[in-house]
Amino acid sequence: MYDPVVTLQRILKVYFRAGTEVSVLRDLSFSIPAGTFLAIMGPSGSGKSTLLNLMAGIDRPTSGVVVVAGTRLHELSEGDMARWRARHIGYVFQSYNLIPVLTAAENVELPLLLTHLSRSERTDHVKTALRLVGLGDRMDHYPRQLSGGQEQRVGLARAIVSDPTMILADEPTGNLDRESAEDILTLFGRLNRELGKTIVMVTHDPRAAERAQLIRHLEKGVLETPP
Amino acid sequence: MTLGRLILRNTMRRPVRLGLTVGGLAMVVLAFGLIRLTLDQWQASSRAALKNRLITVHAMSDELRLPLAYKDRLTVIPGARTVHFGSVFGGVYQDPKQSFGSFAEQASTFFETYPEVVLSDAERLAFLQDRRGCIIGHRLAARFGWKVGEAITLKGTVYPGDWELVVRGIFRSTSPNVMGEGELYLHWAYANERLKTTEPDRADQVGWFVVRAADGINGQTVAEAIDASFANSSAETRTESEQAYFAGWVARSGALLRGLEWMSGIINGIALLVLVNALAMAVRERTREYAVIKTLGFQPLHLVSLVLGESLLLALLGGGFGLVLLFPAAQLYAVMTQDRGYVASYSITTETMGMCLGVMLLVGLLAAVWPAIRLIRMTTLEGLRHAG
Amino acid sequence: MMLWGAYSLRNLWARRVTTAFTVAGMGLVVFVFLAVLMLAHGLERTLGKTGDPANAILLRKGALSEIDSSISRDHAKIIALQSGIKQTLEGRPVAVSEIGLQLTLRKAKERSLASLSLRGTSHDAFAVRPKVRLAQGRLWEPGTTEIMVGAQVAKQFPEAGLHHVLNFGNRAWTVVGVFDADGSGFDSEVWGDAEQFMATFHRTAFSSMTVRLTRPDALAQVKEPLERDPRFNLSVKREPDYYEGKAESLAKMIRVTGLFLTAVFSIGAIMGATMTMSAAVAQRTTEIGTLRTLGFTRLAILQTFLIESMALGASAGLLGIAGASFLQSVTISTVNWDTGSEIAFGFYLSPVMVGLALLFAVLMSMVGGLIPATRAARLEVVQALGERTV
Repeated sequence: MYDPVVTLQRILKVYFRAGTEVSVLRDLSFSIPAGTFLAIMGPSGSGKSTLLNLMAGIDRPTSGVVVVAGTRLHELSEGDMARWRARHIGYVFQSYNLIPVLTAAENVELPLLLTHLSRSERTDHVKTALRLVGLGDRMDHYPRQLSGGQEQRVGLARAIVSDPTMILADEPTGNLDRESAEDILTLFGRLNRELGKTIVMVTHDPRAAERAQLIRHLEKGVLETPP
Repeated sequence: MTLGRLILRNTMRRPVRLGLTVGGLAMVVLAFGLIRLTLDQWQASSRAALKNRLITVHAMSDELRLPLAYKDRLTVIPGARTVHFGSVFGGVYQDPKQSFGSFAEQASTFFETYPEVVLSDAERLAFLQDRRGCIIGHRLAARFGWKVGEAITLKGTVYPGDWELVVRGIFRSTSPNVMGEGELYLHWAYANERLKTTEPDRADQVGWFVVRAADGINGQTVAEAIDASFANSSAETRTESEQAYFAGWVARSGALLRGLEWMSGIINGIALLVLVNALAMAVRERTREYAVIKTLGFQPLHLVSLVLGESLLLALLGGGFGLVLLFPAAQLYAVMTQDRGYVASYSITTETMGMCLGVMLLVGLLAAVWPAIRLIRMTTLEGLRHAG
Repeated sequence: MMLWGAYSLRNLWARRVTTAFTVAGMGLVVFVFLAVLMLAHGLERTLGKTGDPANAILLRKGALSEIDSSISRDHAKIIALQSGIKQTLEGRPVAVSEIGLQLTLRKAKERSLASLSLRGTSHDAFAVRPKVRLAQGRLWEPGTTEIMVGAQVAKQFPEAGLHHVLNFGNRAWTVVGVFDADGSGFDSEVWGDAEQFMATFHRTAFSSMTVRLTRPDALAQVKEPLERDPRFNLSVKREPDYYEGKAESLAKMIRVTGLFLTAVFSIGAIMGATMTMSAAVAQRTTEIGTLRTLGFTRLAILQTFLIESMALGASAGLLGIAGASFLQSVTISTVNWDTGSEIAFGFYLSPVMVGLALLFAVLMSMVGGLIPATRAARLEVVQALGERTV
């Protein structure tokens, strides 16, 4: 166990757009203790997705230190970063991003191809993950045969199948109707409570954020101090 | 599931595009195969030709003939086993445009010199005994519907006059690239006899001598001995193995062969462009998916293998389909180019097939380079933002 | 209402990578197509220019070429007096008795053999063929072993260039001049003194006579009496007619092989064009829906995509033509299967062929674009708008 799972120190993130500098994150420092279900809220453009991507190891800060799961991310090469992601991060996308030519089970199995598990072990893991999200009977369906909520549940199963250290979710309910959104949020809650997973969810939906243990607001690249 | 399955599914994803890509590649392979067949055919005669069969011709000119008297001097060259001779007869049947090869040959040494000729003993004997007889290849017989025993009249071009000949045999060849099956052979003695009256100063001359070197004797040594013995005479000779002689004729069309080779290179460029285009479209459409796969922790090398796998699969499908089409197309091509004097038949060798597939593999490899580089360069974030 | 023009072209530009691949692929097909036509045409032109319609050539009856033919010296003298044959102011007939031969030469560079056409003739040859003119050096001195070579011989066989010496028939022959025969087959010939050649090749007779007619339509005046005369056993032909068929096998081979192959891989290129246009339609489904909602008709949509496809084809055509035009400076020297001797000819590009190539390219792209364009036009508005583009 890594505790805290995430430590960010003096993070600065600057983009160059059309010749002008845009600072997205300004001198941001905070940490996330293990086993937390954290919601990061903020209007669009507040830098919340950037923050999530920094933690996920798919983006790098302009300056500052990012330590996630005991690893100083900014020091890793691209290849090592990918290996690290495979081991520690489960990522849930707003638009599900399932591979359309693969079945639900195959989509979930995808991250396991990077492990040394045998074929039968992989199948076991996939079944467990899909049952956990309530789709044990949809294994052989293709994404186009599933509803949006079901697709997102497959996305969730894909995120947890390799038992990562942390689950990161970028607006996971943004494309879903209320009912499906509730299902997903309930699943997050269960994963956090029953399996002790650290979950970081970015959202601008207050009703989604309410389900988290902890809510932090990001405004113009600065994290508001909790009251 | 494996990445292989993902490659397969990706390839099959858009059936129309798959069909068009594979079809386009197949057409290119087909054209490439036809060119290789043509080139093979050119080389085939010299490859199948015998090394110990020597051809002696006039050194100064293709059209000049050698004195018949050379025969006696050739017979005593050490290492020469049999000395045979012949000339172009140049017979025309009805229409000069419907040309075929006809040759006046010394009958007594013909079969010994050309063991490729397959003819029944009875027909062989009938030909040898009839001075006005001729034997014809079965393809020629089929072309004009000639039967054994039939009398045919040819108009002579090299040997002037009308010639009444009787078909005494229809032969096949064990090596059609060397001894064709579309030619006619008649007695040189008969042709020469009439020339003595019509054009006496051209009589007693032959187009070539064919000397078979005795077993175990180096043909080259014999050839050199022959040319040395006629050096500085009024008609110097040029002696080469049959193989070198055929190769020399092929080399004279070298510019055309090089043209064909260029063409075969260019059309592989077309294959490359078709495949790169298909891959580029596919990769662009799937940019987001590749980014997702990358987010899951896959390495750039994994993505490259996905693209490369798809590229090779498409190339091989195209290559395989093209080869399947090559067989009927080669038949059609052979019919279209028949009797143009340069191709007898097309046989598709494993070498040709291997070459077609090999070239496609290369095209598959090269086509993946550019899309793969784009994928490697793509950062995960850019990919995720891609609108498709 | 018209939608094409700027809209189509901008779409091509927006997808420029795919556009470039498609144009390049089709361009290569056009290039090969044109190269084949140019080569076959170049060969025919070379032979077509060989000989002058105002000349007649006389050969032994039944002879297909000069090599099979013979005309004795005595006959040649009588024949030259035939009426219908042009005479000089001094009253000498404009006629030349010649002997056509072949010389086997080993090319110095490639070490391969080649046969050169040898023409034993006299200076009268230049009077009979006014288009052949001295380009370098001087004419041969009659009665000597001096020779002249055609422009292509000088180019293709450096060992037979000006001032070089050829050895054959145990004699040395010096090249004293180069003649230019205006791109005709004579450019691939070696000319020299007929008597010297006859002596060297052990010939006693000429092989042909070429005579200049008083008027181009005077052929019958020469042909009828000479062909009827049993002494001569002659056939008389107009000179270009004789040379024209002299490379039929070669021309046919180039055409048949070249066009067969072009046909095969143009199908490949059509498939490439279909693929590109299908992708364009698929990518712009929503756009098509929007355009239809705005009131554009199915026909307008069909036109747009067809025009876009044809623009692809036209660019490919231009690219192919541009590439092929560079071939014009290339000369190919190869054996003529009908005569056995070397002939040099170039790639010849005519305006008609440029048009043909452009037509071919546009046709290819039209066929390729037709199915996708029809599909685009058939899309239902609601369905097109509802389609997810991601």
